[in-house]
Amino acid sequence: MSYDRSATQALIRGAAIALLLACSTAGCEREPSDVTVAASWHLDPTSPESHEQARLQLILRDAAGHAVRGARLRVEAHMSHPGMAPVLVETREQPDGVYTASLELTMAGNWTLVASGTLADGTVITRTSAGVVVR
Amino acid sequence: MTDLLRWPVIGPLARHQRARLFLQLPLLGAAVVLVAHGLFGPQIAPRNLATVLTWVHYRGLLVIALLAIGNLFCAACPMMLVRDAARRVAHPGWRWPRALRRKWPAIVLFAAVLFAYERFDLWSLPRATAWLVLAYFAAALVVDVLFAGASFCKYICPIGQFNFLSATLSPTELRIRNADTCRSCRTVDCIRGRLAPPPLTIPLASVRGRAGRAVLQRGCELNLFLPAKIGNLDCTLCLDCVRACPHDNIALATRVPGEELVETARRSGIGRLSQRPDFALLCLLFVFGAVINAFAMTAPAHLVETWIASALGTRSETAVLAAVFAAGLVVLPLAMLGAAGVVSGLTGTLGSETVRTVALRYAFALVPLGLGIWTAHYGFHLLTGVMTVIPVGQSAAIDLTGRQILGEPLWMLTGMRPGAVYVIQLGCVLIGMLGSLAVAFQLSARMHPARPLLASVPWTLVIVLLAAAATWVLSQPMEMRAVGLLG
Repeated sequence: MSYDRSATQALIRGAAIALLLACSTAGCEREPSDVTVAASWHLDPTSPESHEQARLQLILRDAAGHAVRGARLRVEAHMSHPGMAPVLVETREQPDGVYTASLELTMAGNWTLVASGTLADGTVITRTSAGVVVR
Repeated sequence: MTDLLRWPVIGPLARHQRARLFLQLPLLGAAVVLVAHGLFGPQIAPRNLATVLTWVHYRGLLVIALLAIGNLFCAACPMMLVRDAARRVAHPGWRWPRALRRKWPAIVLFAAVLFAYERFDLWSLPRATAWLVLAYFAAALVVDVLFAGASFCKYICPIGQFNFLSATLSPTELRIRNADTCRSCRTVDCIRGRLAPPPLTIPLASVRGRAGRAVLQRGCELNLFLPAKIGNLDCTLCLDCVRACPHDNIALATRVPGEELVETARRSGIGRLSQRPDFALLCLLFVFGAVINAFAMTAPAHLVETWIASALGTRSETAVLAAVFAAGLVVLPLAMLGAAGVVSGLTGTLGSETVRTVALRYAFALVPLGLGIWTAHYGFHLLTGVMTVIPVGQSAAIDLTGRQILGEPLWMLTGMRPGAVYVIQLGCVLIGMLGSLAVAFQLSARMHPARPLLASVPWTLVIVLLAAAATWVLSQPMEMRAVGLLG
């Protein structure tokens, strides 16, 4: 194989720019805006059947363990496969930082729940559940 | 015959020196975006561009392009753009080993990709999808920087093999306009490429051909000599031959889809299909792989896997999937084609041929059905999820900038209802089945002109059984699992 020095330099420059661009997107997977708020997910039943109404309970606590009140949250339920219709529900606030919603997951398989919205002070919050298996 | 290269606008655009680059750049841009989002974006498949663009849009648009025009996605392959850039620096010094100049490596890789897709639930893993794309780029780069021509496309690339087989059903084909013109041609630029006349010094001509002469326009890198080229097998539709031909004697001609599957003549760069068992096995992998790939997404698959796990006394998902693949890709094809061959023997239509020879010849007849099943499967995901790229794109913009520069993600944008798509899926399988039946009958007519109907009966049964199986699979409730199948 034969090599061209100037072309090699051009390729190295190109690779460096690409690496820089890649690194600059490293911020894409951002930490939640408010890392002090912890979310715990409870689904009843834990493994619902397809099209069965399941009750979702999302409990928000701050770093001190106090209830986080006044949040406005929407829950997106996504299938494991891309391109499938998500299920979207608004949550209702209950006392003591508990947010509830009724979910009807429309297909058997694995789902992921994503709660996103704002806290009472306007801080953006996004939390993701562990996988939910729908039978 | 209509020559698309004679059409206004389309013809000049296709012939343009940079035509391929214009096709490749958008796909390269998409690849960069999806890899970046896959590696650094949210690891939730439906919210990540890596998984959405790869498993929903790319696959669906690919089969539509193949059926509507031809092998456009090979023509637009961004990996070849990167490879060409690298070849400006490092020129391949070796030829692809003669012993490997068959489809065997590609068959193994094709099966491996299908297996890995199921084993690791790749559709649900943005980061793994991104790494897969990167690995693909790296493999293409390494192979084609080391080996001359389009070795990666011809002998390695699983997507390429999928496209080559599917393109046998495309409505267009590159072919010569006038055989006399080719007979009088002394330069054969369509395959050798057009070289600068020696001695010539071109400052930027880092690509050099025979005796160090600059290549002004390369010829076919897949060794398809146009006067002897038949059909679309191994053709990437790059149009290098069109641009290289000094006589403007190559057409992108319309034709009857699938007709080439019946052709028995020797093909340039391939030989006779009847003497290419590797191609025939690739066909079987293409067809039975389509059924397996669709089946794995259904509820009964879970039951079958659980039963196999119980029978084998294992909880290893790899072992269970290996058993499923062995059954679906080896035992089932052997049994079905073997049985059809034996019946052919009993009915006296085998002639002097062996069961193996005849079965491998009829394997090509299954390609239309295979493409019908793939189209039904990929079409389902595309049609039901075509709009999801919008909210995912909006979400990616938020991931990147922290602001809703493209607005709040419209997660309700998806596509057609699955129920409405089911009718289209059935249509795909039905059309594929009819295509396969037609090819099988034509093959019978060529091999057994005295009794074509009788000769085609066993193979007709194979096709109908496979179509029935595919129809059953598509009617099953979907169950998209992304954790251990035994979980």
